[in-house]
Amino acid sequence: MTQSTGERGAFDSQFDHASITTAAEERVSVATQWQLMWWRFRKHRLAMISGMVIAAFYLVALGADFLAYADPHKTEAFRSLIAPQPVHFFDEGRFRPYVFGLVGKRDPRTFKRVYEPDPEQKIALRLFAEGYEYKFLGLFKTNRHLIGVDGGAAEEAIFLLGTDQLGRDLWSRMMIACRLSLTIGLAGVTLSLVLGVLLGGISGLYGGAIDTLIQRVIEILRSIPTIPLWMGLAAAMPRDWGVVQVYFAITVILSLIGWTDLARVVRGRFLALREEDFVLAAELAGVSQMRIILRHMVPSFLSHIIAATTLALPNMIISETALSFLGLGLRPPAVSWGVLLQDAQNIQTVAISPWLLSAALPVIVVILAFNFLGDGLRDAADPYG
Amino acid sequence: MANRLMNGNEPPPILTVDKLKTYFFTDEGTVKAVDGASFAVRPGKTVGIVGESGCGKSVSAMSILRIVDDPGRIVAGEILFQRADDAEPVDLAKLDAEGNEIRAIRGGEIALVFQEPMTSFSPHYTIGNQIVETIQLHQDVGKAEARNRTIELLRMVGIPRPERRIDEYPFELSGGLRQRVMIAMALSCNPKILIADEPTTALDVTTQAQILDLLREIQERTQMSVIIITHDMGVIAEMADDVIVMYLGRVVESGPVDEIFHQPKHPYTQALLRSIPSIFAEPRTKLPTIAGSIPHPHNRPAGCPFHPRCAEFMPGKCDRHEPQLRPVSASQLASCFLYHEPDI
Amino acid sequence: MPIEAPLLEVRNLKRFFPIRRGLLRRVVGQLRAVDDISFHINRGETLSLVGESGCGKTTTARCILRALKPTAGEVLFQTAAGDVIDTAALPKGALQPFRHQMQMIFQDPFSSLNPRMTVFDIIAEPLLANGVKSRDQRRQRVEELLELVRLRPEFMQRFPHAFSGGQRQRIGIARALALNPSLIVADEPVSALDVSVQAQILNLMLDLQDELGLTYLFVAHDLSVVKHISDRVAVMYVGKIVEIAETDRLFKAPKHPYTEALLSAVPKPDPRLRSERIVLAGEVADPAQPPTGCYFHPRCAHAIDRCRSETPKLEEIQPGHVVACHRAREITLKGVDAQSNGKPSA
Repeated sequence: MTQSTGERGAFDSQFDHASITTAAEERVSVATQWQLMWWRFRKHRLAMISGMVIAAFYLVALGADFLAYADPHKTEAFRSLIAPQPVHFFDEGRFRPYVFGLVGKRDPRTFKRVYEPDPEQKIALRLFAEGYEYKFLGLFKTNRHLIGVDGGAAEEAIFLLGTDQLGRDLWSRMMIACRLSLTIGLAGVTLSLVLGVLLGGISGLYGGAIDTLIQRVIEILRSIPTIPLWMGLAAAMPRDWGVVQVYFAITVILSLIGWTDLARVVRGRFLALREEDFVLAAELAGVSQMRIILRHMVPSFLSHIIAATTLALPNMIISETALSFLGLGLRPPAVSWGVLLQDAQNIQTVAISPWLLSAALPVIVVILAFNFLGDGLRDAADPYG
Repeated sequence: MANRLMNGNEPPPILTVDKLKTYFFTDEGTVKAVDGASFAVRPGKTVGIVGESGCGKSVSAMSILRIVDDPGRIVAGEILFQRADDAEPVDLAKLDAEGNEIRAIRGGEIALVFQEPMTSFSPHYTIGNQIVETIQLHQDVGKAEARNRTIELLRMVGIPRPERRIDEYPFELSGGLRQRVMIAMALSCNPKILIADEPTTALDVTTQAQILDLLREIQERTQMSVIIITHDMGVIAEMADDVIVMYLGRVVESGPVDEIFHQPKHPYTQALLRSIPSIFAEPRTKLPTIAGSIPHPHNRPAGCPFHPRCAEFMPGKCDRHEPQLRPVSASQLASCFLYHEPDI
Repeated sequence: MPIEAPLLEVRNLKRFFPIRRGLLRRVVGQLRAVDDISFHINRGETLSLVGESGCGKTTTARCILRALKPTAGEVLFQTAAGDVIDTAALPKGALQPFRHQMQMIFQDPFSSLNPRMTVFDIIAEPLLANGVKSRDQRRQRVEELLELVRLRPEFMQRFPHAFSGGQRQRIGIARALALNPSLIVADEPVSALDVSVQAQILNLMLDLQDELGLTYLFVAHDLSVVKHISDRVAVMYVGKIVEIAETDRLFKAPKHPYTEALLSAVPKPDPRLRSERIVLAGEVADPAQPPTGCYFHPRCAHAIDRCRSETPKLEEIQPGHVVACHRAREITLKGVDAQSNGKPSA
């Protein structure tokens, strides 16, 4: 128990003897909103793991070229549709990873090209081997890759996830695809964030005619069906724009519609906060409107916005994948998960070369991870509730 | 001990709660919401459970009905309920919380009235619908008969024009009327015990007077037992025959209402009665206060939970040992070392 | 009658809320939340505004603080400089220099403190907004204020979540006092607190009034609490004031049947006083569609024909005792008396 401390004895009859007793509680009593959120978030195991998974994915996006071993754009008809190839880690009892070389043959009945491992030919895998040249993080040129083979012709020897119809290495393309798929949504989400917070804030803060106007605009925007819009936009883009440029433009335009959700959240928070007693208290104390917004209102929904954004990102990723799959988003030669999945569009290819579907796996993992992370953040977002 | 109220010609209690412990196992630690509470409910009488926030009065009621939500659990104690006059009492604490037996008792033989009647109704069904459903759940009657009974019940709780009101939705009624409907629903299966958890806290004072009158009138008519849970000493004085005073999960004092108000034994009861604002006070007079505030349930003080705020605190005794609920007069029990020595 | 001018005088205050219906949100009626009320508060006294939920007491408080714009009427406030301003008429900007002279204590100790700010930031915010630029000065003042409300100054780095309801209410009081206001509007300041803590806050408010010469407008529904704190009490029913009198008078000898019923309905904390109570029939009138004549007549045992047709005006029937009842002079009503029904000995 907190005991009287001499000169404060006079107060003690009024004080809570039993309020704060331990150092741990003392720590909680001076903890800021963000600390409390972190402590709460930490208990959310799944969200913590998801957060790490997402961080790992973005690291992959950063070092995509380093993790790839084959030039993702290099086509070779002789290496079409090679199946994923097992890696042998131990050679005669010693740790020395190698793969077998492949021998291409024609199936005498179907006339299809088939590849068979040649047990005579052991190709040793090297770490930090030399391969195709690229710019690491866009800063300096290098040709080192995480794995490779001696002599630098990794695309001729390693097929961790097989190849596509044009003989491009799927593993390498998936690494490169991370970059586009994971980042293209960011711009759109950022833009809708800015628009949403701004317009939602104005709507909730001023109310009246402005509010009504913004709300009607939101309702109209939300009633526009997105797929036909995409199709129209995809057709209307200037022909001389590159594929990524076109896609980027479309995401930006979509985010001009996508801000509505966030705007509603922000408006709702503003309306609720305007009624809070502590806001009225600040008004009565003569605190300026600007300071009330910045000091009282924004901090109390910032965390909600972070959570909402985390939940909006997977939407962007999945719509990229879906639209590219339909041929409306990114198109080759751009490399994204959706583009990779385009190859798996017909059932025949899927039946014969199921490894073409492997790009679906990172999509699923990343979407799930984002959703779990978003849930965790949302639960932790209001540590006072 | 719980049978203390029995004397020669009095019938045995209809409900006996003995050393009930209901704990909540949260991430932050164990909250001992109810920690060894004992009391008895006499047939046809009203027991008032009074205490401030966190004293465990509501959790006690929820434990009786076995509707304690996770992460809460009854960890010890008995809740003996006399279902029929000549049968062996059932220990509600031992029943399966989802089983058939407790379902038949809950809402049938023991009914509950909540503080906020709005949240205890479904907004999508008419009030009639919901009462008819309750009646048919517990009794084997036809729809038409159940509806007639519902109208009868609504009339009994003083709802004007019940034939029309029966088809209204909860939001169409005022707070007072909703509470009346809630009571009608609780009465629909002729319960032996009615538990009213802060039944008038959300209501205005004139409406509160109406509802308290109604409860008393119904009890006189049906001779059921009532457990009324409140923080308001005024409501207790108006309603209760026996009073249980709780503090931080424990019963600190219990006894007949007149003794509790006029010869309170436990320092908490005494201090509480002194500190409540009274309508009889001289204007602009200061009240005696209880120092400090109620500790957070996570840091419940050792020994007697009231000792840090107690004017009679005896160092070495109250902060080391837990007092037991023992007789302190012919009819009162108190849990305080002023009246007994620690068992060592 | 006071010789000096009252600190606050409310004249014919009205606040209606439009009732909108349908797609076009057309105004179909007016909810008369505050319907032509007048009263005054003298410097240094406590006037309580009591009534049941929806009677307009909170709306009145907010109109006085100009958190709500009154529909009509005057709110005359005597500033520290001795001028009288009409806060109902001044534009918001012109009101700003006087704002700090009226402050508020809130009902809910949880929502009235921003959980994301430390106690220091909460109490110092009014100082900062009113030009106390030096952090040292602010710190010193916050320390003073915390001691004034009997909290330890060391607590100032903590966040509100570390405090109990009663302690938070003290923090809210410290914030209200930061700018040396002359009028404090307290909206149900103890009704959200545990009973054992209510007394602490009431005593604190009484002490502060003596120490600082504060004037309180105390809005409450609990008559027992009101009795402890007020010099005078005004009773409201459906947007109108039905009776104003000195506390003792009002409790001992109410002149309005509604006041009598209200007093009688309070549960008395003594089982020996389970007496015959006046239980009002029916429900509180709907302020959107009030009855004709006296709003209370459908529930009043003393109503006569005149009550159904003619709205009674507030009339001074004894010095300082005003009542809005046609029959105030002819009926005898029962109050509560401290002499005959003392508190139970404890």
